[in-house]
Amino acid sequence: MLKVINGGIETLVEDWPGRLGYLGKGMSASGAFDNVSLGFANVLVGNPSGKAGLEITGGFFEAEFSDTTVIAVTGTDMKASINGEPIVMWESLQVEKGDIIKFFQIGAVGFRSYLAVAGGIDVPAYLGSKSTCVFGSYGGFNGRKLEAGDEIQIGEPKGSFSELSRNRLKEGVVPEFTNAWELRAIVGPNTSPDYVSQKGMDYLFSHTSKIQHTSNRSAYRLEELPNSFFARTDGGVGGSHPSNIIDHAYAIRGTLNICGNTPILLVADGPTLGGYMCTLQVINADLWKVGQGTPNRDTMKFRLSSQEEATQARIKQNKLLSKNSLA
Amino acid sequence: MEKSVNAIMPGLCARVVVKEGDKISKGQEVAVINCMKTEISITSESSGVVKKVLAKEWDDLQVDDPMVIIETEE
Amino acid sequence: MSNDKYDVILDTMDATESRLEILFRQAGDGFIQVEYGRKQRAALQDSFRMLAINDIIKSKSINGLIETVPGIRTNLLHFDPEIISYQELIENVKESEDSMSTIDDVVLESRIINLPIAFEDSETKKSVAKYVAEVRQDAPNVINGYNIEYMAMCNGVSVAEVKKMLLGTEWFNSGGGFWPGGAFLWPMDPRCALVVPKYNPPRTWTPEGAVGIGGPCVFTYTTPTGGGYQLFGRTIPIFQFACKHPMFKDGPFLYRNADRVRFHETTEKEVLEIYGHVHEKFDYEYIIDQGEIKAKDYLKWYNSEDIQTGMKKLKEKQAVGVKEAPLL
Repeated sequence: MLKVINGGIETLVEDWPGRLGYLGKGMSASGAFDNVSLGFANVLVGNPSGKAGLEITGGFFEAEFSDTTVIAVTGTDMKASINGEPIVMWESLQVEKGDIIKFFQIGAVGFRSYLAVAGGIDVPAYLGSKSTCVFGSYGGFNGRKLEAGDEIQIGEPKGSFSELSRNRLKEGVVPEFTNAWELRAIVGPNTSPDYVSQKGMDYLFSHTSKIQHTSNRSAYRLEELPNSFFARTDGGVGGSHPSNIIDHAYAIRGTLNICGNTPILLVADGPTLGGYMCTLQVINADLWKVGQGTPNRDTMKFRLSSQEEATQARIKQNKLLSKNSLA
Repeated sequence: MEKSVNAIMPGLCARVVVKEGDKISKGQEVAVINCMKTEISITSESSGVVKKVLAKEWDDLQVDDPMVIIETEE
Repeated sequence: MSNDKYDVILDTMDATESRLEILFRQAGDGFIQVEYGRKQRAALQDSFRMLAINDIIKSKSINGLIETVPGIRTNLLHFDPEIISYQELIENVKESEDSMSTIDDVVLESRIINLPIAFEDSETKKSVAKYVAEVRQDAPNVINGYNIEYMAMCNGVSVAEVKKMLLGTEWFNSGGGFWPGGAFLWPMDPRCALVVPKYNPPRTWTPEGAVGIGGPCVFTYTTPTGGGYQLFGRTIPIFQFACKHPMFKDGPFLYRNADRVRFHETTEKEVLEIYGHVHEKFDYEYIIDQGEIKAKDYLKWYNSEDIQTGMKKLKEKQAVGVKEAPLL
């Protein structure tokens, strides 16, 4: 068990791939915002890569372990410590009963840390997933972020603590963090020539945009687009603004919703349907980068990708998030 | 001794809730930052008197930007 | 697909007598959008067909197809590209479309869900009052502390007529989304097709079971949340997170695609009692009738003189109302 001393800014139980199959019921997939960091943390402690762990956004999470177990910390470097001793990230380590883990603030790169525990975080699965949807207040631990006093259960580890601890990753597999994220994206469903001008599409793939401070697990907001972005002057029967369209389902996680002149990446907990056009989607293998994009600090830029490249990237990522990556 | 209370998250300053000359105690909220559409409370790690308010509403903040200077009691 | 790097039309099917042209749009990594017609329109006949085809696609249990998300004129297909290619998926949709070649074939299973409603109840009134107090004091859509008079004004009719229209038609669910358990409900009877603008800015709180209208669609709020639809009453629970009532044993959702909702007026007291029977005693019996929609019969009725005349009359009133009602 893990006893929460300080929930920090936003600490959530998340797994991967999250709650799939409920978009039509108004439920986004949720899931780990950076599935690569969660995946590596899980692999390090002997779990399947999608097992539920803790997603620590912004920092300041603090908790006490009630039992001996093995953990791994990945993601942004929040200067995590056990009883005041710094933790080496991207490696597994054994912790003892009574040990206190404490995270400080976000590092120079990245926004979210992940804590995996051997056996995984054990909360009841809701509609097939242990992920929290903060936006809808369901799933995870009572549908909310963790608070002081919460007692979080841990599952059965897949091996002895001595086997699972001191695991390390092979050279070169740890993903590269930055303040300037390049996201590979597939265009559609609303592009040029009918919705967006050719010039507008070129702009989208050349402009570097600061992540707006309002960005969260539902939506990552980028800089406003010029009016020349649109290929039309209004939304026809869809509405008065050229970004309006008759309600359609949104391809989340990762679609770029054009809401008025604001481009918004609809992500983990985003709305599943609405009346704004969508112009591209960040490929599945790059969604993790959005999760590490720091609001009001980092930038994002899109690079045109293809179905083939996206599928190959998925296969490569799946291979990476396995025991093969252990040194 | 002077101590600064810093931003713990990037975001916009929503408000500073203390003014120069205010006596504050350890753990007291001195300012609020807007990030992720949530209000994040910035608290002082020590007791003392507010010597200078550096941040104001809508200021663009990065982690570790000083917001308020406290003259501590020690 | 052309050589244009931004072209997203992966494939098309020509229009036939019974349906519009179909566009297969690339919608992302593992997503395709099937779209009816190049020109946008919101017509129930498109939705009937979309949902009937959707049933066929789903009955095929296609390996790698994660889910389908139908809207009024589009269907979003979510698939795992490591298991199935978009080309294979499009072939499956094409086969399904071809199997339904005439309008006679478009028959849709459609339940009728009978929901009691209390007009102008105290809970939704509270949420309007909260809006005025905390969000917009001069909100022109709030008249005498509520939205129903504004709804009447927008449509050039009386409050009594608004209620009559809300009760006088079945409301068709073209597909869910946006909010957990939510459904966008369209009037089957065009003589009851109220249209109103949405709140500007939106509310911060709406009670569970609140019933509102925004644009042409009615929405029954499944859980307490913000929202932008004009409120006119409260109905019984249509969603239950805990899944304890037998109606929700397979999931928290009441609505299915293609359901029709029919409202009948009752007192607030009765609505509140039903909340207890759904959420605490788990013994309320929902009134649901099995049924189907035959697109051909519907179109015949829709295009009949009586209905068309009635629809025209309402549109004339609405044209006047729109000019009188203040913008939001």
